[in-house]
Amino acid sequence: MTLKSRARFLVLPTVLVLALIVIFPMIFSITVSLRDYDIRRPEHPFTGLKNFGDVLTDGEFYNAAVITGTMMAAELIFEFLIGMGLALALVNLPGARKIFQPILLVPMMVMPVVIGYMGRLVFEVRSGPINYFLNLLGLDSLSWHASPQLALITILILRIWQWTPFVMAVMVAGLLSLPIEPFDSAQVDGATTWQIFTRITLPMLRPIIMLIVIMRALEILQTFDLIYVVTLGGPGSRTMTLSLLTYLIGFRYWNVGKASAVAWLLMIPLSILVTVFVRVMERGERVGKSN
Amino acid sequence: MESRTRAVIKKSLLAVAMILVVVVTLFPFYWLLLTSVQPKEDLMNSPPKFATEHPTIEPYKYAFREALKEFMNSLAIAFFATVVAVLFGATSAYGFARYRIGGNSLPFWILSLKFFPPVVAIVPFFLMMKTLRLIDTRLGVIIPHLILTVPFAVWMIKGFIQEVPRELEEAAMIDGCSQLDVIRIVTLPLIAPGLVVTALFCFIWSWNDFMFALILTRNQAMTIPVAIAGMRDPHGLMWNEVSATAALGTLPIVALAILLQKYLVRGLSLGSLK
Amino acid sequence: MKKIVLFLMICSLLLVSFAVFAGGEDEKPAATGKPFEGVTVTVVAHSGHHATPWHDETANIKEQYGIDLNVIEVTSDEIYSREMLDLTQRTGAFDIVQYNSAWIGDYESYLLPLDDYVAKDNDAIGFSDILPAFNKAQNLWGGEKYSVTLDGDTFLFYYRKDLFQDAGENAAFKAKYGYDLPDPPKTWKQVEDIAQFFTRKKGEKLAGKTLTKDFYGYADQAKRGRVYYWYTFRYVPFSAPNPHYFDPATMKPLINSPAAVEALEAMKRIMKFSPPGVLAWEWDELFAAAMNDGTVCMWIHWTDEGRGFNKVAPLPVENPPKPVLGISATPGVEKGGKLYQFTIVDPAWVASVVKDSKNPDAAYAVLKHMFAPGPGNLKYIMDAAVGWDPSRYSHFNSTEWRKAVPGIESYLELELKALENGFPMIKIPGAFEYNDVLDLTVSKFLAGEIPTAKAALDAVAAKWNELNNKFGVDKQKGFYAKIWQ
Repeated sequence: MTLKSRARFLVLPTVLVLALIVIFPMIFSITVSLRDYDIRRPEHPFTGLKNFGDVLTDGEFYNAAVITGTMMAAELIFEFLIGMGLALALVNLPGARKIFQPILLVPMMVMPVVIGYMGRLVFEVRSGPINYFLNLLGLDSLSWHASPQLALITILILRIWQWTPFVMAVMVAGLLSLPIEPFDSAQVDGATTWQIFTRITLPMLRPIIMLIVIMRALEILQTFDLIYVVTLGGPGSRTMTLSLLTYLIGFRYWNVGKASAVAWLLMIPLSILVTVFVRVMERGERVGKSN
Repeated sequence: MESRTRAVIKKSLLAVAMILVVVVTLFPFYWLLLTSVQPKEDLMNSPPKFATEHPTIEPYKYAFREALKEFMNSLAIAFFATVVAVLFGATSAYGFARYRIGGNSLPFWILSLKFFPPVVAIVPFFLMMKTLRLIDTRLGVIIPHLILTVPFAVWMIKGFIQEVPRELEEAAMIDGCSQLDVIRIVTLPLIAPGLVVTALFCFIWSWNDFMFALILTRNQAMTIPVAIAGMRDPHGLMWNEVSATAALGTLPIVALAILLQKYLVRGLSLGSLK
Repeated sequence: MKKIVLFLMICSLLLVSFAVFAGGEDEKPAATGKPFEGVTVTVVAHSGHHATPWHDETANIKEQYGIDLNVIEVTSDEIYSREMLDLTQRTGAFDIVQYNSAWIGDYESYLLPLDDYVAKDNDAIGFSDILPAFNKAQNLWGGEKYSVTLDGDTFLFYYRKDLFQDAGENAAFKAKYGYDLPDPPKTWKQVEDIAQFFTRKKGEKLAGKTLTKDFYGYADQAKRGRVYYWYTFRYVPFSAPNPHYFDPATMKPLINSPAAVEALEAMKRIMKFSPPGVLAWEWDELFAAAMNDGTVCMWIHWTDEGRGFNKVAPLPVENPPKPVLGISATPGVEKGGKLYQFTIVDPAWVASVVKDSKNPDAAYAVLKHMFAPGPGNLKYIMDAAVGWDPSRYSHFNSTEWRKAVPGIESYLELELKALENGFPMIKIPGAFEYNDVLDLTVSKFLAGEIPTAKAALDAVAAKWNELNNKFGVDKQKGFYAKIWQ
């Protein structure tokens, strides 16, 4: 047996297990998206692409898409910059790392629902400590999650607080896994910190960065618990994301068919985006390696 | 400016920044702990109370009484979901990274499993588990959790493996090591931090999952997030008890993080191989 | 390579077997002579303190009937989804369900009407003891008794009676508005005037003393997901003399009538006099601000404040007068010289027997045990921590309660009187969707996403028509009629 075919055994068990688990839900959701599936009624007539049509003509869908997109962009940027900064700081302070790292991971250890509850307490207009501090500094209280303008920002703050540790931890792991040689030679060659960072660190971290962006993007897309608890998509529909909308449609209005249609509609742009992203990153990697 | 002064200023700025970050990071958590020992009347007090004169441990007693079983369930479920994910994930990640099994499409298919909103998967999973008689069992929750953790593990570990230059492994093989030895001596130590981080996050993911646990459990296999969500009266929340249970719920993850901390070290330098 | 795969498979097998055996439950036998020996009755109940009576009675139920009571707690947000999933799959896993009777349209075909049982044992469960308002709004459906009230939720109007009794403020109010400060306020117009009058900043005077905090005239729970209740409190009286959600003859939605638009505009106007965070306020925020902080003058809420009337905080002034909480029926509207006031009865919470239950007789026995009039049931009603509110004449007229909590009669008698004008909420199939559309749109209007009240309510009416068509206009007409039978 060749090495490659023996290596197939590495992959086979995983693929089998996943396929087994996933096959029924996949088929179910495709079938259901083509039907009028209301769990309260026994008949599920075939309606073809009606569900998809309903979704694409639903104003709430586009509103949710815009909000989700905005959230994704803002969250990715902030989490990446802050996370990267923290990771670099930690890696350069090996002594402090032992203390700081577990502390900085704390936000990830608290359940998203509970973070939502704490958010409600901390940002409460009348009794929350955040406004208290603002007042101490001579600023007016803000309405945070009660304000149509600030609600999304409030959610973003909570989310960035919650997930930047993830970015930081993965970056630290990535930085620590880098071989030392290139850095030693670069220092010998007299490169500046900035040059080392941009010409060596970043390119070598490419797979990790790609990973972080994809994982975060996917998770942001599915963000649910926190928003559900803090604003339920309000005020109005200012914080109604796609996942919240899907939940409402599928689980409160019981239109499981339409909810599945939303999910499958999203698959298309998502798949395209991710494929393009991966290609771009991998091409860069190959170019980088030849340097 | 002298370069030494510059270095000192840089270091102190860094220290100040780090302290600020720590304060911001810990503040909501502090609020959580505070709420967990506050008497009910102090809740939502204006002006906010930053400390309490009459701390009470009643909420923690409540948490122990009511949530112990859920705690054990969460622990078991998260543990298995993590171990399975890392084992399966690591082996297949190696196949994908080094041998490009399945080209681009197979790993992509695995990733695409994460595109699917869990919300939409709830109904089919409920029907599935009902047919298999796995409702309200730990296994019934572990199975959907694998969809969360395994693809994540595969891709994370794949990324870390790809960070290790192939030349290193090839060099070792030329020196006469077997494939297995190469993995053990070269790759594994280098990706150790990555494995650790992956394991930690798989655990956290499964531990914090609410949707699947809610729908697929009743009494026996209920998990902590569901228990916490249940700590409410029809109108308001049992804030103190929720905070206490949540605080206790962070303990296993804290323990895990501290335990795994020692594996977060820089990989072996090349010198030791030669 | 093969060795690794083998190793992995063994590992996973071990893990799987461990996991499988760590879960699940086994049955237990029995044999003594009790009416339902060895039977298990499963009840789905709202989680938290609300489920305490079920847990506390488990031992008694076992001893008296031989029944093993299995209590499944679910949080109120998810109780609908969980119950529907099981009911529609006809699993028979639940024997008793606690639910919001607004969902009766969806639940009806899976529930067992109780009329036969009631006839057989001469109403031992005491339907005649339950207030007509609750029977009408919660338990009766198409004239049949489908459920028994578990928690008598309804809405009352609360106000700072200590402030209203201040002579100085009374004089100033009369001077400004030309009529006496009504104690209690009876109409929404009065509430708006009073709210405007009493909204003052920290440092200004209230009842002759200096305010230490900002004081606000009126507050709602205006958070998305809750706000539709608070709109309904205005919609119904504004739509007097014969308020309806739909035209009973045609099922045309009446939610965008001129009266409805007026009601929504009034709601937005009064927000000027509300604390800044109301758009994010759920129960805790409103209760804390009004009862613990004392910074709200008037508000509408469930009955918790009524039961805890003596725990209201003093007014936020220096040397405040003794705090007194005023309770009254929710404000109405005056039309043609007549005052129309309604008390909205919350359709929650009721309990029913599931049709697919394996032992409905046992289930009914449990219901009787829990809810029949008597000291057993009264004990839980009197316990404020549990959250089961009074719903029966035996509760409201209880001498025991009056002895235990002096002063409680003002609340009890008032609620009794207010409920003479009880009014139901929507209970047709898809009630959740009808309500949620209203909630989302009202929330959008209050948040400024929709410019006019008319545009908002027209949108709701349009959606309601769509829903009517989805469920079948004639069917919905039939269901809507059942509410009033």
